[in-house]
Amino acid sequence: MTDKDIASKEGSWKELIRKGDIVDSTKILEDEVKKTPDNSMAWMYLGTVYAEDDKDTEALRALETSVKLDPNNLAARVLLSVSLANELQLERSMDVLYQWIKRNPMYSAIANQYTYNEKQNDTAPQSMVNPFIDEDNPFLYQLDTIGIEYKQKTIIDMFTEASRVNLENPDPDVHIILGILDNVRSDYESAVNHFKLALEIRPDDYQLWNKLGATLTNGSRPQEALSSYYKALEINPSYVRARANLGIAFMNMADYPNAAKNLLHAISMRPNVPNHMWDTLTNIFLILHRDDLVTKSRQKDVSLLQDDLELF
Amino acid sequence: MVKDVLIIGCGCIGLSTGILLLKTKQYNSVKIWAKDLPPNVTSNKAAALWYPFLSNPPDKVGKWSAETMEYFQKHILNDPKSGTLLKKVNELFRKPKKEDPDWKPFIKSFRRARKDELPEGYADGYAIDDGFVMDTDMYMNWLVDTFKALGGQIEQREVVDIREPFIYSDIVINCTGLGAKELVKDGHMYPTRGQIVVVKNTSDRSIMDEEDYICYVIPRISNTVLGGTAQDHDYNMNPTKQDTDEILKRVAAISPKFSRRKLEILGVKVGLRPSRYEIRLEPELLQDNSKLLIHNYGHGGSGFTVSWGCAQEVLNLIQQNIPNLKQSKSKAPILQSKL
Repeated sequence: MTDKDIASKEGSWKELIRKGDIVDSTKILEDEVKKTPDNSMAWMYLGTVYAEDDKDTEALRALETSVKLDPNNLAARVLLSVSLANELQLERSMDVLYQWIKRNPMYSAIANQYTYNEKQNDTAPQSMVNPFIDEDNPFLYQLDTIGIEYKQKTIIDMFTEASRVNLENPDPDVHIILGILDNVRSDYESAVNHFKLALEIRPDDYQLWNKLGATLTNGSRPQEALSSYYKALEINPSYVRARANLGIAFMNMADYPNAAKNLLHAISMRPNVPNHMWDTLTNIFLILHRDDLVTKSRQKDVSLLQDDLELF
Repeated sequence: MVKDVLIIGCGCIGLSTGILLLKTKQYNSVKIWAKDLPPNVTSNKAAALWYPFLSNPPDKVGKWSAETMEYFQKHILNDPKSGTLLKKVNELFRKPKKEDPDWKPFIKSFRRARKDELPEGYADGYAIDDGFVMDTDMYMNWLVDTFKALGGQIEQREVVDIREPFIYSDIVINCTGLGAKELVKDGHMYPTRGQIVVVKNTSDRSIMDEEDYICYVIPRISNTVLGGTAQDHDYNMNPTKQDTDEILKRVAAISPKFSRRKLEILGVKVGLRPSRYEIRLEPELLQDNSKLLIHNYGHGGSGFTVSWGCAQEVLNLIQQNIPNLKQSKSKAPILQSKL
């Protein structure tokens, strides 16, 4: 395959995802990674589709593969760090981003000025390991925590320095990464500022609008998150993750009918619904004392709930 | 204010409480969760006779008994499906009895038994002409049907942690009887074992002789119950031959017409009365005053007799405590939003 072929294929995948037919694009990209299992970009786009579909476990696996195949695939690294942060693998999320700055010719000089201890080979999956507890020696817990805090500070210093390289033309990727890192350390206010700055440069990035909404919700500002999710859905109406997050924002506002409506909408958007969405929907029906709907949602069959969609 | 109420326990206490709550029409939903459902509950093993029996505190038991009698007279006795039957009650004494019962002030129809009402060998007696009995299997079915007809829901579900029902409801009523020993770690709860012998009908009134031991004859619609025993801290759920013999000997001592050869035995049952030094009927505010738990258990041998009075008390306690209840801010767990 020539570079031109690859470029045109990538163009077609981008177009596919932009059109928003998730069922279609999942199938095409799953077929593609079967045909060309060593194509980092194909795995990256597959990971993107999974993430948009609110399936982080699958996204994580595809993006790990993408980064492993091409450690210099910087876009895949950003996506991977997001999936890791969502799955609360915080230290790995930072390590993946450390390699982003180290491998980026524009900023590698900055990275080299700092001492940063990576936990391990940054593509080794650690999903089964609790990074905060050393089972052999529980007293190491505190030391390890200090280590993580130090790493957190170091990597944020690196990217903060990178963000100052060209103050006239800020690099949106650097600000997105700073937003992710701020989420990792629960500094939601700072994360909101970085995402807002990046959105000034990329106002049509619906994933970025979702990141802003999720950050506002996690920072206990769900009311403000609503308009971010609406913006994301305006750009890409079939963006399942934003729809599901919208439901969660309503849940946090104790507006359960609207939460149910949006989750049901997210669920009805495609055939393979992850279990966590059904569980959330079931919980909402429990809170609403709609035992009839609890029974239906426990059967995980969206056709049973089709007629109830309009009730909310 | 529209509220949901969850009742733990499906004996006569839980069901009566649920029915009164539903009748007020002030609650959004009333649900019962219970480990066992009728007929596999202690209430189904009871005789049962309306009579203040084996429970404290006396003043409150007297009041609740009177209220229960009034409720039965107004709403239940005239319903043939309820399994209830009007029967005169006599408590008998071998020697003259100077004192009146503690509960006398509460029961208008209380009187002393006339000479002609006393079997041979008895010198004194109490009498209540408008007493009544319940065929417990019929009555329990009637309670379940009434509760459901009013919109109540029943789910067989064991509760092992009292915090669990509060996930679904801000108001929970603990009607678990002996189960309270484990559920709320009440060390005052213990069983008082009761064995009864069910025979074919033989008597026109309820008779008790409880001076030196527990002995009673209770005629019901379809059979008569002979009792009984009151063995504290005895968890044996199986009938024993020794108890059966003892019961038959005692009832025969009341009158020759209850002698063994005149009786046709239909069955023997055992139940564990939920005993406590006194009935626990009180509110408890939990989780930073956002949850209301009302205890209604420990009725000993008086569950049926005080059931409606206690249910009314639960209603009063809910009404008194709702203003103190803080709104819980967020009922749903906070979920992480995905970036």
